[in-house]
Amino acid sequence: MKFSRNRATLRIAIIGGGFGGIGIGVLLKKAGIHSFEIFEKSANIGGVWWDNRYPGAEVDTPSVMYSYSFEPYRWSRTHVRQAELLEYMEYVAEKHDLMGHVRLNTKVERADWSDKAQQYTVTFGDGSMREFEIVISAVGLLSDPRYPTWPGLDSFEGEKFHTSRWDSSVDLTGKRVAVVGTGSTAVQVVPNIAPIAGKVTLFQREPGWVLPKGAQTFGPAEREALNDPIAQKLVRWGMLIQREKFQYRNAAWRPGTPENAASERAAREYIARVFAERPDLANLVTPSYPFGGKRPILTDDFYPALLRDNVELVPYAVDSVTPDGLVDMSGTHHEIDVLVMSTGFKSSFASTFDVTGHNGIDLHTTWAGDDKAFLGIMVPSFPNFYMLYGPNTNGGAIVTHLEEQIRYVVAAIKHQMRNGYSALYVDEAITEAYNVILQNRLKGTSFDGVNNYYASANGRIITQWSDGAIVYALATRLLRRIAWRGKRVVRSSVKQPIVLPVDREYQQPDVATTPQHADADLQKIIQASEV
Amino acid sequence: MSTVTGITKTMTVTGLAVAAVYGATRVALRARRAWRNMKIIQSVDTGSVWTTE
Repeated sequence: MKFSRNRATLRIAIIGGGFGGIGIGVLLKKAGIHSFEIFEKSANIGGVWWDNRYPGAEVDTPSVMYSYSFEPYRWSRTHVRQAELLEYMEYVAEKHDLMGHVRLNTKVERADWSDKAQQYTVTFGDGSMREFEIVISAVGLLSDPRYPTWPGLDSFEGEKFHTSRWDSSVDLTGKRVAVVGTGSTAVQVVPNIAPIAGKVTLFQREPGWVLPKGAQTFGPAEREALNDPIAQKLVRWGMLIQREKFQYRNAAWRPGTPENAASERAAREYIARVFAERPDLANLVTPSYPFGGKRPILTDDFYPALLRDNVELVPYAVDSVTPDGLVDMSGTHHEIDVLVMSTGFKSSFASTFDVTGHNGIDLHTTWAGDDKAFLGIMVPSFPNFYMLYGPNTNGGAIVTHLEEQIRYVVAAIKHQMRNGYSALYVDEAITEAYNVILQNRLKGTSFDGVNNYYASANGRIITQWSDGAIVYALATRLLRRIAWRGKRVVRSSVKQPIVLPVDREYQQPDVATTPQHADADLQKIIQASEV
Repeated sequence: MSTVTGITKTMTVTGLAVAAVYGATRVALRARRAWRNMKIIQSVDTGSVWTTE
């Protein structure tokens, strides 16, 4: 159902201009809903693909899958680099006329729900405030850099930066560069800086399981074929189906399954092949935990880079920092000129801003580190608040998951508008039951007991989904109606609960003239109804 | 049934049949083209079924 332009609608704040924010913008417009604004803290859209501009930044998932199903693209490679992904996102935003809805350099600090006014007050970095009936978090999972707390870090006299805040003004030519971390980012950085750096010292706390990615450049024939949207969709579906047997019940991440054994065997064979003449290195890069305990690493050039004369693998974490180097856990001091921190991101959700919901409860306080939600999207007591790429939605085809979440949110907003609800909640008991079932299905996976970003400090798996993309798609479509609860507030002074001008060229209202649904407008809640 | 009515019916049936055959042929040709393009894209085999995002 499309909503006509003159129909009452809701003001929607979307926080984050990455894959989630742009994707939901497109689908809201397709649904005829234009009263949304996308707030992006950076100077451009793109999210992680704007922030992560380190050398060699590249997607791990084939680009045919790591893209919107509704917007195929003529990719240059099987796994494209950061610049092309950013180009793709700009292409999508321009094609769907979204840039008029985007507010760049606008950081959202907090969103506070008012039970009386049935709306959120969104506070921005400059202290200004605006009212929105609906808030959608599209800030993703891995967007807030995790900086180390090593003693002496501030005393380091050379250049230092996090990989997601890469300082391209620093010339690494001939320099002694330390890269701390061996996750999916570091394995892309090292092969790309090793040819120019004087020496690269890589600090590895614990190795990851590595498999070859098989990234290739598309030739003219393949690029021509990519122009065929139906063909690209067929390839995408084929990949999804192929991956399901690895992902249903997390087969590949469950020790003892044929899929897990085959994956670990392939990773061990890869180590044996590359390090045939360097058993010392082979030993250092072989993990001691089951395959899948940490995020598997896909790369074609990391292991070969470790064989270079100017690359040293230090099998220890960093203990402390001196003005001219790093001291590892064995007590050895390493002199360096530049410190690159590939130390990952905070694995919490909606982490870049605060949210308060019904009765003023705080989202992060409620979670207390054990982030959870219904299908990763809605949290009880937080009406009209949605998350994209929320708790327990990671794993597998992320953009496919993201699209399902977007469709869920658009359906919820339409449901709310159609029924005239001022608030749409998710049922608490159903959410609890859902999370119990989900955690049961995650038991026995490799994630347990390994130092990874999947688990909270309490050991609860908070990031991973349990059953592959197809089951997630079915769950988001079949379970939503039974979990939604609507509340209708009617304002005696206003015929429609919420009425705003809506047109295709919806522009950011002047703050001074923004309709303020003050408390005085709301006489009382006269009706509360269940869906 | 008058001659005119018979001719009209025959023309209608013939027209519908031609349209159906034409439409089916178009769909079949499009499906074949999509299938061939899919095979071309898939010919670049990465050798990996992994997605880790």
